[in-house]
Amino acid sequence: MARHYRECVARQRTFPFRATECQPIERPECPQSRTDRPSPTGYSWRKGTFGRRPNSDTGRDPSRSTGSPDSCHSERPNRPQAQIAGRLSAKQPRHGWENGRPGWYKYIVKYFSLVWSAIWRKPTEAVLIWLAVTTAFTLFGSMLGLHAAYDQIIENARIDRLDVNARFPSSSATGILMPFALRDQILKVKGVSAVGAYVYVRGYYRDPHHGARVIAVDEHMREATPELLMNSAQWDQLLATPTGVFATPAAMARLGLKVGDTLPIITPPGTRADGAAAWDFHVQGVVPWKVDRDLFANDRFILGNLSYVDNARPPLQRGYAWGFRVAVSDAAQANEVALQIDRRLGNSSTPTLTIPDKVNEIYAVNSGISVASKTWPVAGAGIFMILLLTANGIAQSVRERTTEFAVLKTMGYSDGTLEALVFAEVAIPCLFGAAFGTGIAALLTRLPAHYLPEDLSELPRPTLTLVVLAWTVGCALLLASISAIIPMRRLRHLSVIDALAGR
Amino acid sequence: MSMLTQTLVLARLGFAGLLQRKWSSLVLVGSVACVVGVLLSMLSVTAGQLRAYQSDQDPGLALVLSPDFHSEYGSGIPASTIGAILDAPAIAKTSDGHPLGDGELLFSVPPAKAYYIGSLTLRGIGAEGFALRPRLRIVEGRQFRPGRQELIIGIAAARAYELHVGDLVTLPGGAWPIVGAFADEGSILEGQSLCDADTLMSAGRVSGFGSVLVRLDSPAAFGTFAHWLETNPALTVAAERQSDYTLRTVHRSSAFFTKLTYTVAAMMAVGALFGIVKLMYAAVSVRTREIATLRAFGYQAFPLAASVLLETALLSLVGALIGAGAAWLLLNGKHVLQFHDAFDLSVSTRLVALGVVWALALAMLGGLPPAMRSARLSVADALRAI
Repeated sequence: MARHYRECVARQRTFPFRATECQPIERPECPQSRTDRPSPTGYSWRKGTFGRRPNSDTGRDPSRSTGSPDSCHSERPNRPQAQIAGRLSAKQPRHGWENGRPGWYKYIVKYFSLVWSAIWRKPTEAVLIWLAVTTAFTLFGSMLGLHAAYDQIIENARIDRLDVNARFPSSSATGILMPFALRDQILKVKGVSAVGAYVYVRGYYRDPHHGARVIAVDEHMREATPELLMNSAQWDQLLATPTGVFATPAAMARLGLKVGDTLPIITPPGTRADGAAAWDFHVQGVVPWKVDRDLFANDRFILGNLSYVDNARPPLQRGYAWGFRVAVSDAAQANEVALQIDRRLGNSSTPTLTIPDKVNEIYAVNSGISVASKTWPVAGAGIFMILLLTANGIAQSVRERTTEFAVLKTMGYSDGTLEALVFAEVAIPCLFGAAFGTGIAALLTRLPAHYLPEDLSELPRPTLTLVVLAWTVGCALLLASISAIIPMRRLRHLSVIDALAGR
Repeated sequence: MSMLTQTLVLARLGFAGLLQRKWSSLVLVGSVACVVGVLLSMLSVTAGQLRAYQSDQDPGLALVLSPDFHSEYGSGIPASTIGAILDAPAIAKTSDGHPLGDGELLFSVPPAKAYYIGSLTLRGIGAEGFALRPRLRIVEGRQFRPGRQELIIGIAAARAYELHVGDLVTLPGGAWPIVGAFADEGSILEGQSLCDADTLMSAGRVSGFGSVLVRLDSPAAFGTFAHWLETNPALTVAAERQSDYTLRTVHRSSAFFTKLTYTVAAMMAVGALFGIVKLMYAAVSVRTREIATLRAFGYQAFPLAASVLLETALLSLVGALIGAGAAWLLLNGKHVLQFHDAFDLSVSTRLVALGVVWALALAMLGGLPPAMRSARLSVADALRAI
């Protein structure tokens, strides 16, 4: 016993154990043979399995903390055997459960302090690694969330809503493109259930860098976009109030508006018939907005009154729409209906190009500088960068603790157990970093739009779906696994004799 | 020994020990390479676009636009006013005495295939259009003939839209054949197609031009030219140097992506920064014995700190060059199509320099805490730890 204590104290320089763990175990000698007695580490030499570890404060096994010396093999020495037997017969323990807890729980209790002390062996470096992992997962979560948001935009876009635009946009001297009369022609196409016209009033609000846009719609837009959650009274109010507008909550938040405010939009010269630079709109109410894709493919739109806007334009520009929204009665026929519209108007004064909303969204997401295509490479680069760091950190930690692992091997720890300890040592910071990083990414996605730079506020809000969260956890575990491969190999081939000899 | 000599000696010792700390050194290099690689890869898009726009810049060219549009798109300059605009002073003359300028208009060619992504830009140019662009040359087929519904296509546009000489393009008035292909030394014009402006106006029922391009007597004559146009009561136009218009256009379209790039790169840089601090702390920790001995020999704290910073800077510099090299190998010269523009990505020397600056800034910020720790290391404590 004294020898064991001396050896244990001698290991203190390299061992993360506390000195109290090396207290001599003072208890009556168990009549059971030496080979059956659990070792201080809980390893049973005969069975080759781990049992309960001694209490770190008393040096005694908790299951044997009370009772008479000859009762050292009983599970609950203070209770009558009959009572225990009665309970067992009344309620059978579930498979893999012990004392009302899952089987793996005892391993966590047993090894957690060992792993935890290894992680905090060098606190500064541990914190720095955790911060780096957290930052990387903030980026990872944001990028994957952004990708998911783009996917959701495409997913939510409706195939049965068509956007009709001029096929040759520059073919009108007025810059305004499609005569309102085309609406009747489009309505005649088989499969079209409703057609609404729209015109943009584009300019800025207060600051030339603070762009704003009102989408002026006609009375038919009510039928063409039934997915809009405006009720009948709101539609009536919009169509009855010339300068009235309804905005989505996001649009109002972006411009800092509230119901009743005046919204002056400054437009280029020549936009109004009276020569004024500003269109003074008045905010009448809020367009309820749902997650599903709504009109004009974003959650920040402001609807105005087309009748008023059209009459306020210079005479040459009146009577023209920027485009038409078409509702198709059968979604399966949407593509065919689009082609029919273009064929019907192919020889008109304004040939058209009709595209379903879903196709439009795919085009918008993938054309130009496609941010969606950059999200995965950027997220991957961030994770790779952190992989280098975590792999180096755990490799260095294992290298510096070779003697410690050799002692553990000597004491009977199997290769698998040591590898599990190493994996846990790297997995815990990775998982915590992933959790915190994803949390920060979630907070960033809820940052009000006016805190973002003007350009970036146009990005879709990253969506942290369950898939994104699953990717994050999976990536953290993969990161830990790859980082631990080399140290695990090193441990598996560790020569105990050489390591203990310091070679 | 002077401070400088001490710094150099200590730095040399530090560099010599890099091989013994090769893995942690490689990790630092790899982290910085990732940051710089991502930064330059994303910026290569806007840099390529800017290069394409700027490559046809000519300080002697001026653009006349409608004040309503501020853009070549649209048709805000009536054809009837072109003559008055070309009467302005300071416009260069051709050999036969005509003003060297012409009205031009842009036209979006609708997708050739159903829902084909992207639309080709067709530029209608006048009789002086080629004289205004002396670098433009036909590389295949022939030039379009005035009055005929035919066009020539830039080599970048042909590549991006998979169009060839002999193909037909649907335009107002029917199918127009592509009769030739041209190059313009990598300018943004190579991503467009050209045709006769009058023919296009007639077919498209367009009554106005989008812009008037003129060559000035000299770049300095722009003020005279612009003043004459703006004070002429018969005209409502605005003049702008073509180079200024180009910059305005390209910055407007690339501002969003540039900001996104810097945001992403900054997040990566913060992660790398924590990594650098950790790695350099570990490096200083490993060298405790060496540092204690050197301090005992009389080496001062400042050279020690400086040597740690130099070591970090060297490793970061290597990382920056690797990241820049990877971005250059993977992306430089790659053809992309962005809305109406077809151009090549560019990892220019300016971008590489930017990457190096980022890497050095990371090195300074990340190397500073470990450097300060090494400088503050107590000789007695350090020797006791041996």
